[in-house]
Amino acid sequence: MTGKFTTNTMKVWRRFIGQCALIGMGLWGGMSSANAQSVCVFDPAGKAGDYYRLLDEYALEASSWGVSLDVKVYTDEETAVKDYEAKQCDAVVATGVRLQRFNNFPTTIEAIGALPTYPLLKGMVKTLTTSGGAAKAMTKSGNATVGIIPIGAVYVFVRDRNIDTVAELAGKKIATMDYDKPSVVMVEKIGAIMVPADLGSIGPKFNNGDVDACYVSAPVYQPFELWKGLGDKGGIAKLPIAQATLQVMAREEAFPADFPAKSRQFFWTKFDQALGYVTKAEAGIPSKYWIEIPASDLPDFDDMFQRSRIELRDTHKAYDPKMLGVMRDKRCKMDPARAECAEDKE
Amino acid sequence: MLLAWMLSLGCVTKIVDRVTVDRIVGQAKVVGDTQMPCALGESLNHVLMATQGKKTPDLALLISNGTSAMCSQSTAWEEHLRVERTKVQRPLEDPFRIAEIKDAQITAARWDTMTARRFYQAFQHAENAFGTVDTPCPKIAKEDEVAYLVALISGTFAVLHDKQSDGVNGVPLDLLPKIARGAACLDNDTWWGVPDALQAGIWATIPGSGPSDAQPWDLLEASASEGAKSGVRVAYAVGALLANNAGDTDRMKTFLQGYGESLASTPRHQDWAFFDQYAYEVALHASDLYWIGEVGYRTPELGTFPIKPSESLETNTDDDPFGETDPFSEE
Repeated sequence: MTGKFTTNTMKVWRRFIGQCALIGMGLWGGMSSANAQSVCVFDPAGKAGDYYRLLDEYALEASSWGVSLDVKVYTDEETAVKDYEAKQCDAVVATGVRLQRFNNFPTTIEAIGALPTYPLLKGMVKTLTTSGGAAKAMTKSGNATVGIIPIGAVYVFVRDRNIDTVAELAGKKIATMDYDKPSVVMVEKIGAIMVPADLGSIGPKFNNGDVDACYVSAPVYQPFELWKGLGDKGGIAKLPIAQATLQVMAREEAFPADFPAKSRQFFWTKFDQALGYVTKAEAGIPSKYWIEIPASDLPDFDDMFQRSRIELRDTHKAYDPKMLGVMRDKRCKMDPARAECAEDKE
Repeated sequence: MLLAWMLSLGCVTKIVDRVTVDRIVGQAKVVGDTQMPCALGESLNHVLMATQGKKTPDLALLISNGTSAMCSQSTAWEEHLRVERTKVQRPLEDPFRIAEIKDAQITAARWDTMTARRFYQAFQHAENAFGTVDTPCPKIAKEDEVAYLVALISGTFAVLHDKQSDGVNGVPLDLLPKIARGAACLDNDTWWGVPDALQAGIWATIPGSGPSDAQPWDLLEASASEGAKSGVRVAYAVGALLANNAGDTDRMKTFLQGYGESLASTPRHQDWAFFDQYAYEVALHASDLYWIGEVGYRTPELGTFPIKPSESLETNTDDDPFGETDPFSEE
């Protein structure tokens, strides 16, 4: 018994001495990343991607705040989020859809049809960056949303450009990310048939004709070769159905108290740069594919969007009511003549 | 006058193409040196362009642009290493740390821009010479297969370097799936597993670009291992490059370790020494980035990895002769 105790004690001491030596060796050599916090970044293009490089800039800026960030890239989004949950990383960068389960306040910025223009999106991000109330709401259960990066308006791509009204989408097959609850609800609302898809299958399903439509943002048009599915007859409805964002979520306890505010400020200053990646991709899509939605059809879309948002807020608790209200106010300020401005449903 | 007449008929361009691919590449490929072809590519490019008449010597310009890109690529790599080295070696409190890193990043991006432009021009000349790189396969003469291979590699690097420099050259991203399909136009065994490696690497990089049941990384590892038996290890380099880009450090280390083991077991194929040397440099750069990020200096020997203090200490505790299994213990 004594011998076993002695052996265990020796092991503990050895481990302790080993850890002291490790700390000493970490300091030795002046390795600046010895105590770095890690941030797991989802960028499908890997280290060559725009968002990885943006986060590399962020890490450099953070170093001036005394925070050393080790940026790790992931080409699989769910793995990045799972590693964050497993505390393999202190922060994670993923789409709002993926992060909704942590805090639906900041992710509601992606609500269906809520921000139909980029200026509106920019205004909303600015509000979230500067509002004290928003700052509080962006932290939940120790997870703080410390940055919002625009990655593009989501458009509906159709193989037949004659499908350009809500009614005509009924009965059509739409490739739908099944982990994206809002999209599932919207597809149900318009009476279309949901065909489960993920980032790896959405392109082939659309290009091979397994679905009639899919919804993506412009940056994937080229790498997914969506021109194949669009062919001569297809088109892209020029009506943003949502604003996709990458959101930066950090474990509150791993960072200094003033970190979230500085971080949000940094990403606010990078809004135009990030939006530039998107608008460049949109400009790269041949103009023949864009379908202008007649003004007379817009109320139908707006109505469908609003019904979806309300159901997602009330029934599925996917959207934050306060966020929806602020975004409605911004829409009505932009265009007071919108039908929704006469009543107060959001 | 005679030259002008020959130019107008396109005779000269045909001769320039054949001399470049058959004679110059024929000589360069047996020498394990990338700096000489890069310097030659840089110096000859405008001379070759001057031989354009009604026709363009596209094959020759594919080679000169592709090899000249290796010069700027090598400089870009050095700047990327400077970025990583500064991050690691300069403490956060150093007032010049951020400026030094930004300077290196900006310099790297400038060289990436030039590299992307040269590789993309090489690829465009290839498409002028062969037709679209895609399926159905263009007609490729046996003696031009090496030029087609250079085009596939150039196109892949064009996309990666353009992305690293904010897309200044506007290299289209659908080049990669085209290259994946176009790679199948070369015989995999003849070209050291590179066609399959490129295809699998691109499938792994772009979701949904390959068959739904494909296991791209497994395919890439198999191609690299099989291809290395030829003594030309380009497929291993493709694996290390793309695994590093994907942030998959463990997989990158697998490719680098395989590369190192192959160096020890399989001599270089002297007929293709240039390609094996270039592959070595591509893999070495991926390894250097890793080494510098971990310990601040570059790879002493390809296929080895830095041992962190924690790892060495952990290992030692198990074999401690003064521990439980100590033969000198009184117990």
